[in-house]
Amino acid sequence: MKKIPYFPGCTLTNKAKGLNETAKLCTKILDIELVELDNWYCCQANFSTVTDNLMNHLGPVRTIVSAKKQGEKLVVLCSTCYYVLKRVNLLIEADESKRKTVFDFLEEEYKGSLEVVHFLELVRDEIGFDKLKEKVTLNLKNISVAAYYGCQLLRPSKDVGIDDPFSPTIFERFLISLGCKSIDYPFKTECCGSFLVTSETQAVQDCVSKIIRYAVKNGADTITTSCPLCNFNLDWSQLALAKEDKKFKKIPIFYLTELMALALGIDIPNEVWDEHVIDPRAFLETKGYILATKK
Amino acid sequence: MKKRIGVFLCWCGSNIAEVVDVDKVIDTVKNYPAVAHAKYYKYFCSELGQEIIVEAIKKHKLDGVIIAACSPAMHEETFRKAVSRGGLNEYECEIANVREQCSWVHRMQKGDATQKAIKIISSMIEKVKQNKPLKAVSSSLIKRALVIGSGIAGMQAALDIANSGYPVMLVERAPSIGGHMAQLAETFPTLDCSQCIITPKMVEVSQHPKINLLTYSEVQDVSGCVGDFTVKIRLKAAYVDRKKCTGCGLCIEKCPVKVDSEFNQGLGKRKAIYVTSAQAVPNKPVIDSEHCLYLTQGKCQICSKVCEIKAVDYKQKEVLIEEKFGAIIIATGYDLYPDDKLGEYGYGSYKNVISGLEFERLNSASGPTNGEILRPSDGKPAKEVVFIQCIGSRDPENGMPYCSKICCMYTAKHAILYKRKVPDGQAYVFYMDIRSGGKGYEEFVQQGIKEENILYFRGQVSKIFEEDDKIVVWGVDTLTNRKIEIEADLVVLATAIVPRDDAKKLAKLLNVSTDEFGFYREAHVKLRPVESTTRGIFFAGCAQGPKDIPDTISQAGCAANKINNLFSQDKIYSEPMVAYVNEELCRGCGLCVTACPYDAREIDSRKKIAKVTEALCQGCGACVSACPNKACNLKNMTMEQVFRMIDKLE
Repeated sequence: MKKIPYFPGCTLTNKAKGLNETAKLCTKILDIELVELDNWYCCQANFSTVTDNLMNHLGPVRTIVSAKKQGEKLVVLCSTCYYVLKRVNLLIEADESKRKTVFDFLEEEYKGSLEVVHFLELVRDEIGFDKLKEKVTLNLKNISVAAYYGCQLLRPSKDVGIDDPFSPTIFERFLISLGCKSIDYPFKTECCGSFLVTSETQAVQDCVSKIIRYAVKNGADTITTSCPLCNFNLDWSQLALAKEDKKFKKIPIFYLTELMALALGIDIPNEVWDEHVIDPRAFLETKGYILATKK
Repeated sequence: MKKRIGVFLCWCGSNIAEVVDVDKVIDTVKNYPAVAHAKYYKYFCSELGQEIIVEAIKKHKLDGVIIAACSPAMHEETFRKAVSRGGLNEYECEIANVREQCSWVHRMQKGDATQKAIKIISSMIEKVKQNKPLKAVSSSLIKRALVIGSGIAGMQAALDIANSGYPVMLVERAPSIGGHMAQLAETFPTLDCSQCIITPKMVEVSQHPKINLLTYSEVQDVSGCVGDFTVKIRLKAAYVDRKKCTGCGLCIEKCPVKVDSEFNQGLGKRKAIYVTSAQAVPNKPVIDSEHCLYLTQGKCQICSKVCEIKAVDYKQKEVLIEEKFGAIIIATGYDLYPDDKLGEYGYGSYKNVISGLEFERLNSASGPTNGEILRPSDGKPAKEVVFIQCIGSRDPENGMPYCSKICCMYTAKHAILYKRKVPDGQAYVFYMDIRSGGKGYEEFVQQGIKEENILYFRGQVSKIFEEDDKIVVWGVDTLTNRKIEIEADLVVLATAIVPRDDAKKLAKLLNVSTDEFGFYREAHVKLRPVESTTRGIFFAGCAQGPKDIPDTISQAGCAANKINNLFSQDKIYSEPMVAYVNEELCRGCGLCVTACPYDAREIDSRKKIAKVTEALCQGCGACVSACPNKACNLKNMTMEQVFRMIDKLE
């Protein structure tokens, strides 16, 4: 089994354990073992665009140094962590003087480039959608899923984009490999409101309302994300939306690896589903997916 | 014999004199043995200044002249003419550049600058000492022009040359002439019908006794130089004998194959045997070999069966011809910003998001909707239309950094035409700036805003998506700071003008240069805007950069005039500073032949030594450095001259 280092990030060890656990279980079935980095730091949750304060990048740089010691490639699950690590990695690679300053300070040696890849890229490039399809034991054909990319997997496209920034398909191809029906809608690459959830909940609700409304209108009965913050915003904001509008129908929000685990026949523990605001178990029950009904 | 050299140091106002100590320079150089006369003056390029030189040549019996002044690129020609008025051979005059290469760059080091000026002049004295009188090289001139591309630029240029009495060959790769302009509905700012103004020109071109029109043909290879270009042209197989064909159109009517019409931008269909449009010149069909049933599958042959005069010829092959020309005009036009880069605006995914050129076809009385503004998705009338400017233009990050120049105006035209056809409809325009520099242009835009109530929003569009059967456009009006949301029936994208995708390929064939995008590069942006970097090759129209119809016609006329000037001479005259061979030293090894980038060297088959074709030689000196026997030299720039010049610079 091939071992590849991966970066879980803070949220995956706390509020989004399900994303972490299901990802590891899934890749094992596909002959890849995700090995947690020996030494990793918070990604800092944002890529600082301040050009003259390199301190802002130190956390990710330490993680990159540590990853480089364990391999050439680093897999990241959370979209935000992916976005930050990849951009810092590119910055350090491209700018010699900044690189020197940072590494002099850290008293570390720069050991050449590291390839930072998102989990979806790992599936596409390392495993392949065909192989994934072969390993599917539970065809999820009853589920119509809207893939939600958000911002950080795609923009700025020249730096971090894992696919075309305006009409990406990698997520859909992933879902189709699992047997799901993939739904297209115009808001799959729009912002979820992100950190505004802590200060401007109305703004987040407005964003989420559009995303969900258009996905449902086009036939989706669930939305899938790869980011804990997007997932939370889409999930939690529905409570308020339902309160405001009695006709609003709540839908469960999955992590991509949860659906993947279902399709690969993995027995998903209840703790995973407990993390959700809108419980997906009832939904899975109505769709006839037994594995989920052991509530 | 010892030379009597005159040194004339120009102050260039204060440009040189403020930095270089002119008194010191004159005091130093006048003592050099070869210098018979040295003098400074405030402006030698002025009429008075030139007179001083002419008088001094006569008075001091000078046989060599050095003008220490600005770069030779600036006034070498001026001073050479002045020197010849003084009775000297013009190639006895040399320029010592003490402005660009001295005073301008050493503003802060006045003492050193003076020393450097003295060195530059003494070095040039060494050259002039051994200069010999030369005569301009003359070569044959074929008074016949080639125009590549037959849009409005190419047609106008061809007509302007032909009307001066010189023969022109007009080569067009499409089956008919007219280019993009033939596709347009109306033109700004007068709203003349494009067809009405271009069709008579197309007919004039096709009937002009001095114009030889080759459609469905492409330039394949070019060699030679100004006055004597040899050009290979490929006449593509049309599978129709277009001389025999009467253009009755029966074959087109009966052809069972329908494909998207390029002329209608895919909004309508054409047959596999087709003419581009009803107004096409020549109005004779060609067969599209990719779609013809007989040529692809060996079935059908209906066109051949219905043709009474048997003009259809499935066995026709392409033909390669070779022609000679004295000068060439490149008028190959432009492409529009590629469709596949417009995904952001839903182009390609949403049928009701179209490009500006597609909107022209919808507007055209001869277009797919006979001029009605109908939605491509369902053919229903469009009541709300959003026009978006700067698609791909002024976008260094994702598109082209430059302004495409015509989009503001054609969008204003589109919106006005739309409002005249659909008075109860609403037109919206999103813009970054309105650039309406041109005669009557701003008034035209204002007319749209004031009389036709077109709503202009200064801002970009953030998102376009389809909802039910509408295209929802989100944008911003930065002047009122409001978010704008429009449920549109039709969205029209003002796409950027980009160079032809094969512009760089043609540039290579013709040995002319292009800019970083692929637009042809002019010899001088301001002073020589229609000339290429290769003598005898000129530009007209958008091949050189985005421009509107009036500018294109002016440029075409200008390029034609340059050619007419050239053809009014008996021969081509070029600079005589070319390579020559010392026949006693040459062993005929041929290294110079391979070294020469201009095909100016060959081995004389009889003498078995190298020779120089002076008309082709550009005096680059590649052969001089390649020659192992030192048999090659450049006239008035011999190795001895160069070494002596270097010695003086220490």
